[in-house]
Amino acid sequence: MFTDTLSATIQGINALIVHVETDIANGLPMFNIVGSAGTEVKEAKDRVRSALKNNGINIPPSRITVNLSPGGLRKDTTAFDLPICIGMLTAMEYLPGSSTEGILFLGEIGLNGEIRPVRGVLPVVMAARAEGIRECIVPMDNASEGSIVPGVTVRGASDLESVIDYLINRDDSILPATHTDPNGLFNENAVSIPDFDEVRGQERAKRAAVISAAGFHSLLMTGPPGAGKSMIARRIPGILPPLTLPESLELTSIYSVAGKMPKGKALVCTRSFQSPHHTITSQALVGGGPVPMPGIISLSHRSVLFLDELPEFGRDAIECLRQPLEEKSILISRLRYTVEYPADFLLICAMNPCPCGYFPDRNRCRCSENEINRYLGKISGPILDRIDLCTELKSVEIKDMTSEKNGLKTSDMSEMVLKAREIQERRYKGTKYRFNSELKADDMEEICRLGNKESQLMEKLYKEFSLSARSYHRILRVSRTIADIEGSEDITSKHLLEAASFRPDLDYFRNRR
Amino acid sequence: MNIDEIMSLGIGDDERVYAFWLQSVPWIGQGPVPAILKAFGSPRQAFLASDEKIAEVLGKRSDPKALLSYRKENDIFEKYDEFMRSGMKVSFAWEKDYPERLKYIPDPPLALFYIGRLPENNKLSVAVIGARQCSDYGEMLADELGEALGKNDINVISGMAFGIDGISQNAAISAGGSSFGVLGCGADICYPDSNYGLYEKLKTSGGIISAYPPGTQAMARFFPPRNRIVSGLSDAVVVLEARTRSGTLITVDMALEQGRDIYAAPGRLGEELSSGTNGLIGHGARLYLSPEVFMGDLFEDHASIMTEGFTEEDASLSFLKPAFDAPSDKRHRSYTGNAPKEPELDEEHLEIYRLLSLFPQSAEDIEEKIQRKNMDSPGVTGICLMLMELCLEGHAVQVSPGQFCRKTD
Repeated sequence: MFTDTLSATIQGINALIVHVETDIANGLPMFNIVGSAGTEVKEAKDRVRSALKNNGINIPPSRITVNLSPGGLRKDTTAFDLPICIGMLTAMEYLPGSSTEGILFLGEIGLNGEIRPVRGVLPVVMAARAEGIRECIVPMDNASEGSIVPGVTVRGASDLESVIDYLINRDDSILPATHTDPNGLFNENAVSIPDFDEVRGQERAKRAAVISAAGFHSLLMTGPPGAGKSMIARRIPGILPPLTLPESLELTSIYSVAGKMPKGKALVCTRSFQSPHHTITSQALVGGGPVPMPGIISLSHRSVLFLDELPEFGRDAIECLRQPLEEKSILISRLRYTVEYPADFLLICAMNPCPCGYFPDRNRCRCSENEINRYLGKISGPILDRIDLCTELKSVEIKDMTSEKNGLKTSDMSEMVLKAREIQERRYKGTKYRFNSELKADDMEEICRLGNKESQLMEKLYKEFSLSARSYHRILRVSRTIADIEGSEDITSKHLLEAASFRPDLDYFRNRR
Repeated sequence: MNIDEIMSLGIGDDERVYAFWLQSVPWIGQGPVPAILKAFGSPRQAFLASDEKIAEVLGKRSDPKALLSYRKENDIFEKYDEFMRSGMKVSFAWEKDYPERLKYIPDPPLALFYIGRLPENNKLSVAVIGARQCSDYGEMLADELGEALGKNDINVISGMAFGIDGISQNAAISAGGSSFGVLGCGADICYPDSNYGLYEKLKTSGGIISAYPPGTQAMARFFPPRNRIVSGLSDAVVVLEARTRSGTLITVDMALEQGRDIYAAPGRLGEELSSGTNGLIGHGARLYLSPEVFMGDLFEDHASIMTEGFTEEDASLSFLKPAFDAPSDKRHRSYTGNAPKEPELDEEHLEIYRLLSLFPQSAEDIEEKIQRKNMDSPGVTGICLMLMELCLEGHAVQVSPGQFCRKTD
């Protein structure tokens, strides 16, 4: 007999509905899975056979063929265990054919029939809804993740037996997960991010952090070891505006596909902070692998990607960031697949000014000119070109540690960011832009209009600091954000000068003498 | 071997080829060459002598292998011609064009290989030396002094190294002056190679000088003898930045031995890079205050050089001079007369300008100073804006991200 069971597979961060067709016919006993099935899928037959046997169900000695349609699409997941199992039971007429109609199945099965969690449940449930499927049976551990999609009943199952019971009797052997209102999750799931008031001194760096967060400008911090570069970076997610629901769903999909969802969590509600070690490979950074997986830059989508000790990162890995920084997504093409992952991250980098870390304090730094040049030369020019803000931190002195004055707090700073964010939202409504940092040169003339006096100042800056066209635009973009923070309609000289003071001077990194 | 002893040998021009052979080995200082000359009377006689005889004269001091195998393996006439064709030149201590200043130092080098030219005897020469890894302060002083010397047609002698050396030499040439680089390797080798730009400029605007034969690779032990030539070619030595234990101070020791005037630029206490120069001042070195004051002193002390050229008297004069002169009234006057004028700025900017110094500071440092003075602070951002304006107006420079120095004209 022939049956058709619904399931799905992941493509990028979206899911595609897959029809699991099972046919049991007379002939020499064999069990074949076809339809571009990867090793994980091929192995399903052994898991399914054992699981059924251990639940007291014997597979008849006949010719079993399972086809995963569409056949051309490569499938590498263990999530087909459950649908294959159900498809066989229906084909064996152990289950009535009507009982599985309109239900999507997803789950890995253990040899004892236990159902284990899989990756990418949220995108699957969303795809199910888009296809008009009203019910999904997924592993228990993934149920809450699926439950945030309205209009689909998501049931979490922990073993095969209860699924069979449910399908035969339609009783409550497996309960639907209660639909969680995503909006409600935002408050309870908040992870505590350390406060900026723990950073003593470093007012300029804090200011740079505000500008960076307000306009989504990439930031490079240089300074001696222990000045607080990582401390500041770690606190930046706390001043970014809270995630909106669409952003959160996007981020949850990525986490779900990457298998990084915290157990029992339904939604990723806070902006994350990713700080990969500098030995990271380019694949781990941007994604890829034999089975496509999102990389760190996609996990930092709408969040902070912090690269500590920037010069120590492999050149290949860093160069990979160029395209995602422009496109806000990464297209990974391999022989067997092409997937696109979103990657709109806020790049924060930190580095020492020289190998020992104390330059230009020549009392402590004895690095030779050659060593410093070699160290700074390791930073890729094109990446430096995509960094909007550059600030220097100095070592913290004992009086800063003990001073009463704490300077800016996270609450003050996020207020400033939010204000600038609202102005940008209003300005960019109906355009392709979201943040000032995305502004392209052609639209800049309109959005960053300068007065007479300001144009003259800009001309002077251009000459005096021998700016390039790129850095000229960079100063304009940053000054737009500064004006937004100050709530000013026009960009004034003050804003331009401040933006210029944060410019990453390429001369500092190249040909120092 | 001093100059009189060398001259008494009466070596003729026709012996250049043989002298060239004697110098084909990179001896440290003069090496065993004086002993060879004394034993054989002339370079030609030495060349004609047997291997055993030369080995005997060299004794245990030096290995004769290099010298002898050079003689054996090469046609030294051809080698000499090849050298002359390469555009390089050589000057021997007994010859006319050999710099007068060097003649009167103890144990002058017997040969100078050079590209370009040698420093003129009738022009003032100043050695500007200092740390390779200098600070922004040292950088600024070197640039300022190099430029002033270049403009006043005073030769700048230095070691073409990173830091103070290279900066002052570059500045002198940019200002239209001449500079001479004395190397611790063959003059045909650019060391450090990243100073290639300067090396090329020196060929036309001065010279590249070395006591080592062409092709000699730089070695640490070649540098102290090199420093001896740097100070030997100069009328005064200015030390801009140096740590207490440094190669720069070796040059100073050599200069003192040669009776040269030592000037040291004072630095802030606690700055390691000024500890050497401050120490020199403590030991009686003359105070370097500004290019103008320094050049005033130089003209006063060595005026005769410009009309009569450097003579033996100049050399002996230096020996007699006290190590330290109390500043005369005139010098005081000239100093106050040269005190930098404050730029015309509004009160706010002037306040910030006054807080700037030649040492790099961040906006936060300045904010701290303001608070210590209990003045109204415009905040770090405000200070930063004013600093940027000062930079645009040319009163300050940003030396690295967030670090500002005062700029003097």
